[in-house]
Amino acid sequence: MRLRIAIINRAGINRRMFLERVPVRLRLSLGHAIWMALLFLCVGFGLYRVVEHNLQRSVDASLLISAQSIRDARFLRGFSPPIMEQFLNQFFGEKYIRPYAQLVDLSGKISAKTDTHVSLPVTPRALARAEQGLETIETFAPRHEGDAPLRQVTLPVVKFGRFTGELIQVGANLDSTLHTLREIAWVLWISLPLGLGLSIVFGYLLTMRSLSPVTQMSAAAKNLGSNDLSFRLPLPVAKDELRQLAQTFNEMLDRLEDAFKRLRRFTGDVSHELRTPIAVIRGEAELALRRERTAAEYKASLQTIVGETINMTTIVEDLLLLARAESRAVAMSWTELNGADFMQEVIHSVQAVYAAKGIALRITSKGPSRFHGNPVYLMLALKNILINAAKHSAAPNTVDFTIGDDGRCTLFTITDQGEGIPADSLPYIFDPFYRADTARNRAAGGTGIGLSLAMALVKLHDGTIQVSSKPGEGATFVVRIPRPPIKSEQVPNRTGLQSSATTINPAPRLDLVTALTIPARTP
Amino acid sequence: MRILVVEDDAPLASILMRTLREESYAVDHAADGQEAEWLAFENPYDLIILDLMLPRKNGLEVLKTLRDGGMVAPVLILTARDTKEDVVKGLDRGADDYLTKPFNLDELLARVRALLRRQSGEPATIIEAGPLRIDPSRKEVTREGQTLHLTAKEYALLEYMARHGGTVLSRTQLSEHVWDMNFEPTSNVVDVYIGYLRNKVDKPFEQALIKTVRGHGYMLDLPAVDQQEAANHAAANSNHQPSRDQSTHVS
Repeated sequence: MRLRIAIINRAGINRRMFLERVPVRLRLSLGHAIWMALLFLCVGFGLYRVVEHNLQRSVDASLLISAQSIRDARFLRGFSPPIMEQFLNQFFGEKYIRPYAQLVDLSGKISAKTDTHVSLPVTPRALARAEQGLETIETFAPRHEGDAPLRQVTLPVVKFGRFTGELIQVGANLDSTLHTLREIAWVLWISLPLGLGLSIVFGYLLTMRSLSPVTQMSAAAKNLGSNDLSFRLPLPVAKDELRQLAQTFNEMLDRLEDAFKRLRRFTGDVSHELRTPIAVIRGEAELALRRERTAAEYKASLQTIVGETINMTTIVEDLLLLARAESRAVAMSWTELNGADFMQEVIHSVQAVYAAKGIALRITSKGPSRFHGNPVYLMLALKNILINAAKHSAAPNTVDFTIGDDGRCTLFTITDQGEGIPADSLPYIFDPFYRADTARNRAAGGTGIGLSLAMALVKLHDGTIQVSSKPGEGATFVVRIPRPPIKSEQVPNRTGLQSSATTINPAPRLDLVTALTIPARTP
Repeated sequence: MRILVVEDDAPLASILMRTLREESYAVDHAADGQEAEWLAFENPYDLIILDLMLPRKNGLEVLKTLRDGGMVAPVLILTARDTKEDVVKGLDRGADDYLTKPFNLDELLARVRALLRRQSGEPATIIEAGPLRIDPSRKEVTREGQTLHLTAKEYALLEYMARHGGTVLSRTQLSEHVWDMNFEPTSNVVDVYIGYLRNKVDKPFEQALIKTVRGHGYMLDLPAVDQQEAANHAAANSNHQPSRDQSTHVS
């Protein structure tokens, strides 16, 4: 049984694969042709049957009428058998259907007949029906090969409601009927393939025509270079699948163009960020080597070179981590963290930067005492956002750093009072090396990929970063870290997590609002 | 020869300025696009070295503003952007040369010399001014086969005067092309350096080449040049910048 299923399945797959291998326009035309052939066959067969039926009925009707006329003549005029025979011959004459008629009694004696007499037995069925006063119409196979079959009506002669024992038999061969039917069949057999052929040709042409926008699209896609992605397909007027396809194609081009633009900007920026320190290293070395210099001058040059090398190392390390985090090529593990301790560590990591710029950092904790995350990556992400906030703040400003919980995620909110982010820059601030103003001043600090790195690291947690900003009033970054996936084996206290999600009162929270403020360094 | 270096990266700007100064050029520095425009319109630079990714105003915009404002000094774009489109765009916007970071200092200096040569309308790589022979690539000056040992500033002054040999040059002109923006206009530094030059260039020889043109400035007198032509040059030159000349003279 199982084997049979397997075979059937394989046959199914084979059939599907065969169909998939047929070009779509041929598939459409073939499908169309098969349906047309079926339709033609049904119509042809039906037509043939209708004509056949009608011809038979007309033959039967004429035979019956003839028989009834003969019966009427027999009784009304009282013809004797010899005169009757004359009458029959006159009645049928030289008709082309070559009918015959005869008058027989129950003993089988023929009392009168036409010249074209055919001796056919009175069938028991006809006899039985005759005794009830009913006529019988029968078809007899031809006696000789090649002859047409015979159709005969047997009409009992009934007098005063009683069968007299006389039968009137009128018959005709079906030669002309069959001839007509043969002609009809012939016409049908000719017109069917012809019509089918025409319908295939027209179907194919129609398919080709209907698919021409698709051909255009593929040609357009083929000609598309990475240098010019501004091309868009013209939309077909009809609101159909092709228009939808063209629209989808255009939308894809939009995204592609944007991606290419970002990529181009990224490569340009990367080359700038990496080439500038290299230019400094090379220039400083070449300058030092141009002539004999004092030891102090050599020392200064070497110090510049070391400084730039450290700069470059930072950029390269950050880029590497970014690439790994974005491709999820880093080992991600979840750990239960203590909210207060974690915040302290984050603050500790940025303390120097804030102290140096004289910016106050205000920490508010209204979140969970414990939450889950990767301590290294999450801290690095928050550190980068905090450093970004510091970069865009000046001395009297305060940066707010809050940890919270919305029931599903752990929330970190970082609000600065800096110059804010222009609306048209918002979509790009997480792009590596993007700077809201074109100023690419390395002196401003950072490698230019802090926010990109933060985004990638938060995404490792399946979390999100939301940014909102009013230019002139600062920016707010909201980092959402969801609960770790249950399947993770490295989650301790899994049951506790589940209960906190289901019970009305969530896990105990650190409700006191601690304001840990790093005092601004007095200049 | 006075050069403006437009570069926002401080360490790199420092290297460029130290290198160019060692090569006895007068160098000013602009750290952003706006400052670059302001300085370029304020001072008669012989060459501008321009980075493209600049704060406030990007290099290409600066270049366009300068060219639209009628600035003719050659511009060398020095940038990390190295795609074909960037190079084409830069040159089409009016730059004269394009060099990508990281670069070789010798190549940069050779390009600077080439641009300055083209700017002065003197295609020869060795400047011959009468008995003087100046090799800008080696900063070497000889007179009648004898090597003169000049300091960087003295060399720059002599080279500028030799490039404009037979032309009267005002003190302003000399200070603007040989000294950078730290030059104190009310000082007599130009006269002092002319004195130094005379000691080295003229004193050991019979004929004095550096002439004082009373009321105008100084001139490197070239014996080979026809006197009439020199006079025409002088007249044309003094017509060019009469106001500046006057102001200097008053001081």
